Amino acid sequence: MNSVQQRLQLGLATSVVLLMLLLWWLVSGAIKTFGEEFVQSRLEHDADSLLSALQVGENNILELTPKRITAIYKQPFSGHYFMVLSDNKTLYSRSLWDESLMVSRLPKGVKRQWNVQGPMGQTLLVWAGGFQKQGHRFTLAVAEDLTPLSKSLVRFNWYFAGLSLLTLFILLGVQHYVVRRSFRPLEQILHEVKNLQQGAVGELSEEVPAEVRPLVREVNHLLHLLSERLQRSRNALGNLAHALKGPLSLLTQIGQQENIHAFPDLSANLKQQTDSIQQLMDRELKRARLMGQGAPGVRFAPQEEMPVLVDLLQRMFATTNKQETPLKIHWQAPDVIFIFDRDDMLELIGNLLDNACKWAKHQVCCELQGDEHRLQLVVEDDGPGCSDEEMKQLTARGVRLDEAAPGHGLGLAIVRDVAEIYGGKLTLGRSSTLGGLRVSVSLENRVCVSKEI
Amino acid sequence: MKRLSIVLLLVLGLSSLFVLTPGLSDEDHQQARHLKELGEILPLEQIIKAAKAKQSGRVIEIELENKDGRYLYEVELLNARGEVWELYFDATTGQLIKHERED
Repeated sequence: MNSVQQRLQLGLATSVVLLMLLLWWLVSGAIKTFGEEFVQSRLEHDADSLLSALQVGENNILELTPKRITAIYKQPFSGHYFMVLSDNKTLYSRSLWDESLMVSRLPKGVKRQWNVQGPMGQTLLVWAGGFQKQGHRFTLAVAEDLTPLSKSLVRFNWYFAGLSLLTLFILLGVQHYVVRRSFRPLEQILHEVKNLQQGAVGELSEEVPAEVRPLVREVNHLLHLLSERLQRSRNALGNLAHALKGPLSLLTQIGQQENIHAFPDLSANLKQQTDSIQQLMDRELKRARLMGQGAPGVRFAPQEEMPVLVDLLQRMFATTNKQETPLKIHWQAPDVIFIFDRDDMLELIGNLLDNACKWAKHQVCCELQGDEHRLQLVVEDDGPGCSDEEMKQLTARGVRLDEAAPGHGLGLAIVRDVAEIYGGKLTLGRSSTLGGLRVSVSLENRVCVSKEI
Repeated sequence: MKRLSIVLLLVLGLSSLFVLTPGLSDEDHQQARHLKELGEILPLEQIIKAAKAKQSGRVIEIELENKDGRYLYEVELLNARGEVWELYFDATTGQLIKHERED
């Protein structure tokens, strides 16, 4: 049971039930006691008036003055009874009719009370005492039916049980409502965290209940720390690149000096190495920029980004291309938001399209497929394409096929880097529809996929 | 008191001849107790149960009568509509003899 709501409900139900049981025990006990005490005091009063009505008559026999006996003692099985036990006679109230009370003689001054089963299923409270009057010792017992009392007690129990149940349900309902209301901010935080992941917001709102505010603050602090660190490492890399620029251009100048030309091998070697350093620097700088804009969230919406990119490339190649018909880029993408870094994706698609446009005669095709966490990209052109040998070379790391077209090799290297970051695959082939090069990249956002499972 | 003793003696001895008078209602229960102990009549509880089975209501009066040597129980019941009903039972057998509304 890991739900706060369930735990609260169980706790409340248990405490309400316990409280109600305790209340019931106290109240019903009190009612019973009060009722019995009331009956008992009435019995004592009746006993007093019976005592005054008892006379010693003829033949030394105890008798009661009929006029001084209350009518309720005369009506058969009325629920009010008395008995007088003396040495030579036992007197019964008329209400007892042909029944009797289980009473034994009590010594003078002794008083006792007990419950006994009476006629017609009545439960009687008997109060008895031993007395002496006019030289006669006798035992007087008065009894009253407790059935009305127990009936009202039963009725009270039912009312109480009903009221308790009603209270329990109302309290549970109120608690349910309060808990739901209290947890609503958490749903809002969840929503914000999703937005954060998609890069829509930079930090979480701190307009939350006091109980969760520390958590939200901690997350925001962490986010801040993360973006600061990212910024710092990016800056460090940029500074290094800047610092290296001077010595590198110096090296390039040295390579172009006339006395170096005397050694063509040395010159070529130097140029190759400086170029290589330049390329590595460009790549690392580019990659540093690829690490995102600081927000940990990532989101790439092809329907928003592709038209801009395609338009830009078409305009670029419309002027440089010498063909009569302008270059046309066809593209196709699903209307989903990929959970991939926007800059990474623009870099990847941009580089591939750039490459394709460079070689294409008339048209380039770009197709995106997949869902949030999986992206399948195919770029085709109607250019000359590559031979099998060239393709093998291209797939090898850092090989530039066309030395005369700067950036080409770097473009594919960047594509490979991005694909590697996402554990993806880069496949080269020949386009079956357009006849040129076909580059296919498949990416998978494993981090997010595993997070959701 | 002396008269009661005589009555009791007569009832015991010549019960088939004696007719109980209403004036003795204060002592009728003593006779009923005695007759029940002798096994002459049924317990009143049984009679009341039989009466309540025939007619709903609250018992307001009981009389034990002797008519032509038969002991009769007269049970007066007040029902919820405020009507008083009189039921006559044979006290020895518990058989219902008469069932009427008192007007």
